[in-house]
Amino acid sequence: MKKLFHLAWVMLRAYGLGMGGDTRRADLRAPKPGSAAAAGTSPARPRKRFPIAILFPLLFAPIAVSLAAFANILYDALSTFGLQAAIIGMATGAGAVVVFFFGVFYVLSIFYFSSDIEKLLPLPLRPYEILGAKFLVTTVYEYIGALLIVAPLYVTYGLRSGAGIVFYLYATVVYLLLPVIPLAMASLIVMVVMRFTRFARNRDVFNIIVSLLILVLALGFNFGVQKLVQVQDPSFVLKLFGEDGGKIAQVTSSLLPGTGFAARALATAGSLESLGYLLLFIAICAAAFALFLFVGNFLYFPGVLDAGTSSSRSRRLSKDEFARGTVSAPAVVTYVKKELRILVRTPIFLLNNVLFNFIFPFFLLIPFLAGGTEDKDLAGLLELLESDVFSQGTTYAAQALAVVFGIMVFASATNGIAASALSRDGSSAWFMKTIPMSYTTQIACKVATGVLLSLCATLITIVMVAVLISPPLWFIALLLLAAAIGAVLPNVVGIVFDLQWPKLHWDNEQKAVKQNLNVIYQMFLSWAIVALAVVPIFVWKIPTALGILIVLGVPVLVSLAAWALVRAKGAAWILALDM
Amino acid sequence: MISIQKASKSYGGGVKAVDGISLEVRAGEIFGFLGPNGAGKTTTIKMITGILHPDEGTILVDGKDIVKEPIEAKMRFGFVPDDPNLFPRLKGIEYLNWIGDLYGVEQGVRRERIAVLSERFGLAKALPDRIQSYSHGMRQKLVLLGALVHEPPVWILDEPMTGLDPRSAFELKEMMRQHAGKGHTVFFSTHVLDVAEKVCDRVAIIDKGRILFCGTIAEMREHFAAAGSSLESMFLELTSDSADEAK
Repeated sequence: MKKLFHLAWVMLRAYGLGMGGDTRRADLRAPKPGSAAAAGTSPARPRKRFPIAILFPLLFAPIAVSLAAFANILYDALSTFGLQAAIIGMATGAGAVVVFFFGVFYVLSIFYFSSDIEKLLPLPLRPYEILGAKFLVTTVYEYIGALLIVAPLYVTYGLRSGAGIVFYLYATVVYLLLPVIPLAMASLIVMVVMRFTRFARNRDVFNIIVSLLILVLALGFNFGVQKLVQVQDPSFVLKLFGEDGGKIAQVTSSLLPGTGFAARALATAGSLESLGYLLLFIAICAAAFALFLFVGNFLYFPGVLDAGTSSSRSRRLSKDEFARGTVSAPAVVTYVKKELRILVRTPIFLLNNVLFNFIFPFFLLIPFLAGGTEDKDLAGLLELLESDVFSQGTTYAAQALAVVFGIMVFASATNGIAASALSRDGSSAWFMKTIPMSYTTQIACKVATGVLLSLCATLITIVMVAVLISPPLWFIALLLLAAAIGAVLPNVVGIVFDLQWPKLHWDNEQKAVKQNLNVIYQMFLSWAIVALAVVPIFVWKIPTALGILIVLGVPVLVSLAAWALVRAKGAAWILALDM
Repeated sequence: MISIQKASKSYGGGVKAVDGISLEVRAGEIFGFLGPNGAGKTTTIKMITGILHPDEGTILVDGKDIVKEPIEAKMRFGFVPDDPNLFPRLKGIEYLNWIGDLYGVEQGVRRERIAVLSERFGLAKALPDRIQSYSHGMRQKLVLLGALVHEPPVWILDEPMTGLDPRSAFELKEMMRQHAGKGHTVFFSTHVLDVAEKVCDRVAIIDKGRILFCGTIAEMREHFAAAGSSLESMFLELTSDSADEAK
């Protein structure tokens, strides 16, 4: 047991706490929180770390506050029926579901793609010690996400109901054990799938399919939450939360057995009955962990050794294939092609850097779809956009442009391609230094790759805007210009960060893109620049022509300045890198 | 040819990894660069290839200054590092074709060279596969093949024999001789003395960042005639002297 904890500690140190935040990408909007902590840099150029203690609360405060506010309103609504305890059921259930979804990602990355298993197997460790340590590490990562969901809801309930110390004590125990059951289920599912796909020919394809599936689930989840938040009809609320702990608690406790007992223990905290429920919950957690260890012993080790291996076909290229494969092209074109190939062929990059460009615009559409006409604000906005914006020649066109441009940059900055351009090369980065192509040209190729994919995001946004509000042609033309600017800005800004602090020393592709602070810097700085350009339009009602000039002009100036900086310093930054 | 004049490099302002070395590697010769682990071999090679800039001194590759005219200099050499980490998701053929584009190798020439060289190195069947499925030796051969596709006048090879199977090692030695035979330059580092003895026209021995000896194997034997023994013992003697000095 001592070895198990020691091993878990070593793993935590090795992976960094950053893994914790990685998969928060699943909700598509939140900038990956934990990734900050783990973002290291090349040892040759240590950099100051951004004060995480400040960054985290800043990022999460809004989510926690809005959840608490939601719980507060819900408490009012439910207490009229005497059903307020359903909040506990919902919080526990939602927490467990979130843990489960993230769990699938975590288990894939910690159990299967962390590539430490080959180093662990020769050590004198028992299988259960490796499995247990990995499980423990995953649990620790899950605490971050679980805390975010569970804490605001529990605390709000506790404060509103005037609960005593026993409630908070129970709540802490439940919180600490909450990840165990869903995580055991997630790892069992993943282990079965990974064991089974031992026979799959192409593991990369499988990884992509699993990732896509999770993405769809996350989208659906988000859609559901949006829908849920908008419903204010009491009878619906009663149906959802009423009778026997509520529908949500029912569903989750039937899917993830045990969580129901945790909720009941909390709802009846203080009574003798509650202690029984709590003990039952603890017992089920222990059983789930034992089951995980037992089954894992059979499923994990045979499956994991295949992960990361790739097959070779061992055949000659046909004459035709050879001819097609050896067509000459300008070096910059081949350079960009190489970047794109690596992005598309690496599952982690495909999911994080490529697919988002195509999915993100749709994701932004969800509020419109989920809200339908029930949402007065959105309906009003749509109406306003359709009727007034373009006809009156007032400030509206600039405002509409500002909104769409904001969405474009939001989407385009999220791909983080330029902000991880050098990092993704990892140990292959030495190549940059020995080929006869100037550093500035190489940097330009990397930026161009990001711009190309960002353009997908911004152009899809235009198509969506065109379908939703059918604006006049001149406005679409303006949007095309905005699309180009919105695609360039985050990438030029991003490359500056990655030139400064590339993360070249990684053993796992996730570290290059998910646990890379440069991506977060890029997103926040791009958004800040756009806010700088967009906010005045709304605050001071700037006339259309000037407004358009500001919305598009500020990002253009910043992009030019960033590129000037790259031209002046980029080569020296690359040269100073240790590789 | 490679010309190194009083080149120095220190990391983090501390100990000099390379301390004012000067070397002339002539056209038409195979030059072996010997030294124990941590002697400064790789740092020197990194300076020649432009991965690192020297703190002091100049380095010319085929007459071009690697610091002042980096692109021209880089066009003139092919480099194979000791640990050839290459973009694992690219296919072998894609990598080679990229090299062809980077160095502006004409399409017809490139096709012929890739076809001939991949057969010669036994890589023809691996070309459609991704580099990630390659073994260490295959990766090394691919980088080597890449370096040969553009037929540079100077070859720079860091520990090229490590990881190669005997047949490929033999092929490589043959090709090194042919390359030098055409009046070109081969510069390679190794700590395998047998290889140096059999292949090199001249060798330099580096330890603790300084050149201890530079000349032919025969001159080296002469130099250490008293020892009258194998190259290995000469090598040990040289480097242990330097260790004593340091004390």
